[in-house]
Amino acid sequence: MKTLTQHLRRAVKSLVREPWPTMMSLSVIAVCLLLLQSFLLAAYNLDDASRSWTRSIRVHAFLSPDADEAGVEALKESLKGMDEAAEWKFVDAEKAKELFLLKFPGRAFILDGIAENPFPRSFEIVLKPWVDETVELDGFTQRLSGLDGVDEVLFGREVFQKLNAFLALFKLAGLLVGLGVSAALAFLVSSMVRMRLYARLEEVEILRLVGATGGFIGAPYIFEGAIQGLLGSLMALGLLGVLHLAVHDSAGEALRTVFTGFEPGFLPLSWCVSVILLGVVLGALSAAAAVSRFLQRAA
Amino acid sequence: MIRLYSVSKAYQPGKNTLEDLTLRIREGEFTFLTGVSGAGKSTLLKLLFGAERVTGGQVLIQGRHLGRIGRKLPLLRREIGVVFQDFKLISNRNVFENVAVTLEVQGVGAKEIRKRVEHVLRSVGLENRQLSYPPQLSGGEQQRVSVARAIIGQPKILLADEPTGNLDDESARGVMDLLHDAHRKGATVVVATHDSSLYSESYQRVIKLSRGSIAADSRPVPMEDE
Repeated sequence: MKTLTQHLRRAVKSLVREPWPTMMSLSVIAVCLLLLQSFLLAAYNLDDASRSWTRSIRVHAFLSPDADEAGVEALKESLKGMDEAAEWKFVDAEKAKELFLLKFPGRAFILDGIAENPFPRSFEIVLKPWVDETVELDGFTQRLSGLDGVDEVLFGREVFQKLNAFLALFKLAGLLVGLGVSAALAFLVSSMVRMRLYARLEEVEILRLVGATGGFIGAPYIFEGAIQGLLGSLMALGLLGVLHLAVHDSAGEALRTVFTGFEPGFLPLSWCVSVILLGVVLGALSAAAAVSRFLQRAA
Repeated sequence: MIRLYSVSKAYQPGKNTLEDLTLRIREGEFTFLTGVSGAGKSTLLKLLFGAERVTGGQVLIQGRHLGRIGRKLPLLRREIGVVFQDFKLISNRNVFENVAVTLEVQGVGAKEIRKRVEHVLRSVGLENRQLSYPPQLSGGEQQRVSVARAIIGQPKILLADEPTGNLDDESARGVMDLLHDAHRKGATVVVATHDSSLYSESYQRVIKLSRGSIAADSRPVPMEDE
């Protein structure tokens, strides 16, 4: 513990002793991490928006005209046994007609001259929040279609599929950006550490002569990498917070229009901690790799 | 304490800097290694603290075979203090930090380091230069810092490579006094020098190297009689 404190003190001293190179590398690290964190924030909000949209999906199971009262009761019992259905309501023909007239008052003329109520009876089903994959929805609607007395099942499948495909694509892009940024960050930190080590070649040689192990020589540089990762992550998070506040109102309005009930937010605390840890770990590992290569060559 | 068996060292194939050198330096001995430039004095010292590897033969320090020491070399080096002609001080660390580095490496605590560094700097007459940086010091002062760094860990072996080479007479005497002090406290001291004035009037062992071999080994006063 005592030794760790010494290494940490040496690392901090070294960073403070060379403020300009430190600030420059911190800025570049922060910009790299900002890019990564922006993608994370966008992915987080899109995912949230998609969930809120999914929650608003209603599956309509239209009944065949020859389904009798007993058949409707049997269908209600079947729905009780389906995990995906959170709640449902039965819409009879009169209610359906009423809803049509309420939603489309300008199209009431369509019904002119039709003596019988043409609207089929239906069940309007609200899904449970965990049903957010096309495959789950497809399974549910297929089982629904197979029930006696059900004529047709409808829901916004295409929109749902496209949204999910877009989200998957965005997550993939985020992953690629994440990998690219991580690689760039690793390269940057290890280059900085290598430069510092070469600048202190004489010091390293002297430390070895007085009996320093590779661990003793390398530890402060690994701490330097970790500190740079930590400060870079914090700076990036700070910048992201400012950017988020700046675009929150305009972008939030647009998202609220598309996705009912959705409120865009900042990264949750656990995600913030994760990205900070990612910066620290990446910084430390890249520095460790640079130190190890340097000491092997210098041996 | 220090044993060399048929040691040879060649930096280039066929050109031996040291050749078939067999030598024993006993515990507590003060030994001068002399010879003209290129005789192999510095190379011999480098072999003793593992800065170079032998081409042939064996070097044993306190019974440990340097050729097989591997990852334990840093531990051995903590028992050896080295003084260099070019001082080898870390230019961006002050006098205190340069001396403290020996103890930091050994994992000594900050309070103990402060106490011991202040003590050793007093003994080399640099108590008022603790916060000075090497470029702000004279050659003699820098060499005293180098000696302080070498002796602060109370090493069993103290090696000095031309420790007075860049110094005026007064500074040189001061540095030699420090090495004799360390010897009196029990360290085995080996000093490589081409300056005959350092050993001509002393009663210490003098080993003269010539073209990588021992040309003369004189012991004016045997250890037992001292």
